[in-house]
Amino acid sequence: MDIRIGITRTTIFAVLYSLVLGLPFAIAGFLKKELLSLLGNAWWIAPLSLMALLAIIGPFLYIYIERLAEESLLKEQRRYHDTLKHAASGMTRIRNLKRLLELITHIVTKTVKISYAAIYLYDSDKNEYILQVNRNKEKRSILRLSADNPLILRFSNDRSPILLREIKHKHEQANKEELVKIIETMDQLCASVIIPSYLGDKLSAVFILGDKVSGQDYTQDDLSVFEVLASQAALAIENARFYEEAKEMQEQIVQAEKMSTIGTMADGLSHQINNRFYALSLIAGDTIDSIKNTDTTNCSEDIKTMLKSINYALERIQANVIQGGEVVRGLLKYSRKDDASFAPIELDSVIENTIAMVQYKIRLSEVDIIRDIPSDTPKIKGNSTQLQEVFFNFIDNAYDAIMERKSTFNEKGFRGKIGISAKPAQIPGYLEIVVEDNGIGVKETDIKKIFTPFFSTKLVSHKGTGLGLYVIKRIITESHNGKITFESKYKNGTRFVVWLPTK
Amino acid sequence: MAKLLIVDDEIDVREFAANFFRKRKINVSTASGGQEALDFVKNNKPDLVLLDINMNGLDGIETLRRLRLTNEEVNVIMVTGKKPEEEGAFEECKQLGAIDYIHKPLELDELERIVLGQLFKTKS
Repeated sequence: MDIRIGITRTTIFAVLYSLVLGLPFAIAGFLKKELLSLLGNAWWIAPLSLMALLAIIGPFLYIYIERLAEESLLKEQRRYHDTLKHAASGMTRIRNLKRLLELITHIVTKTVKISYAAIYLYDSDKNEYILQVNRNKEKRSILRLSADNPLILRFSNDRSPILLREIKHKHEQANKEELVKIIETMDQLCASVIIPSYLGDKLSAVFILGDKVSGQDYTQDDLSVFEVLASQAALAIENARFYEEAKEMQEQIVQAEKMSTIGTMADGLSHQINNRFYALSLIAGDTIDSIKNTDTTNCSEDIKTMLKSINYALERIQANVIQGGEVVRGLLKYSRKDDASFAPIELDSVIENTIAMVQYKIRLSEVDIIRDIPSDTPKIKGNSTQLQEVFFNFIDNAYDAIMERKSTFNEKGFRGKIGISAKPAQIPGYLEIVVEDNGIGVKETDIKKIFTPFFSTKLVSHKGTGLGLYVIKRIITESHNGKITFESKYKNGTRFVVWLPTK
Repeated sequence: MAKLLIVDDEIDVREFAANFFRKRKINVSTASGGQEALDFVKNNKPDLVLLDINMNGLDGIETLRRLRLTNEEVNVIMVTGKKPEEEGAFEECKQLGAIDYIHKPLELDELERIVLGQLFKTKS
């Protein structure tokens, strides 16, 4: 309880009961003469009845006055407690994380009138608490808090807010190193109060508040309201994060749909394109033929030169048309017909076709693709379109990993390698295929997520749909009754092992 | 003079292929669709028909079937732009008596070799 309230109550009580008791006595004392003349020997009835009356209405008066006094005393505080509680309930409706955090700091700063407020959110990738928003940017405070910081560790044992004033007091009483570190950190954070925000057991955010503008201390009531705010905030933040993730996932779904549609159009599109090439080929070819059959002996040198260059140009056109036709032919081989047929397939030709296709996406000159598939390798019982999809993804991902390693670490003499090898598996009736690369590899924290849909470690610009490995796993395990495992070492490379049935 | 009919719904194909063969002293006619081709063959009996498979309206295969129905003894080479693996279409054309089956895009040299080869085979 606020000490001011205690004092106020005591004062009101004292004043009121001095009246309740004192008034009758005063009357008895000062007005004795008048009372004697009015009532004679029963004069004492008057002061006594007055006392009784006052004693009866006393408590009610007390309650009334006390309430008035408290209301006026706490008006300020009640005002902002209400505002904060109201804000807390409205928070979960905000879906944009940044806006949510700014709103929280804004409300707290304006209602409580504090000099500084900031929010740090936990980032699981870096295992740190990172500054997201702060009011009053003139105050320069640190941008991140490591999860090992004594301040953070204190929050894992004790969920109550930390008041700088209290800590300093504790420090005066017992000089502990941990307290010194905490005080130091609070200084760096420009904090007078730190309120932790938990989602279940995890500390998901810390709210930093500076001094109140009025210079007053934070009361216990203040802290309880902040704690309510913090727990609501934790939920709201989780909500906003989840919403943003869901939106991103939806965009990826749409993108995947689009890619799939384009795949189904490949057949019709290729045909159309082929028709264009055919027409071009005939037009150029016929014109070259006409020039060849024209007698130019009576033409000027200028005309002869011009005809020569036109002829050359047409020959170049034809060469390009042939090239174009090759690209289309490759695309046709790869088109997504709903062909679910299973047949004995040569792994080597699958890889061959895949490489023919993948060269339009990646620069084959940047990596060495090393194949070790002996000629007596048994045929796989599978669907060639699906298997091409599988190996396309493997090679594409390997290439990206290699490029990422190149650009991140810039190792001298580094040469990207993708190795594909096959041999009969130890389990009879299966072929064991290994695809390995010396790219950047996968971080340990990501390893278990690698086959989940929409998971991708690639930069946003290269992300694709993120469906790759999820689909591959399904093709191998569900469609082909095979198995897939993988191992990876960050900065070293990745290795996929696939088992596919040969019968 | 050998008579050639080129059937294709693409104008550039008709014009330029026709021009090419006319320079080689071949009497070339063109048709832009299946029905036009059928009418021409009925009245003119060409020595060779280059028949495009994928046309709007009456397509190549249907045209070929109808040609055979009227017992036309005319030599037909089918031309297609679709997947080479379309075994079904190839078989069907063979059964319907097509002499050959070629894929677009085709260079004129190749086309010349095939067409002239065919025309002079029948002539002799």
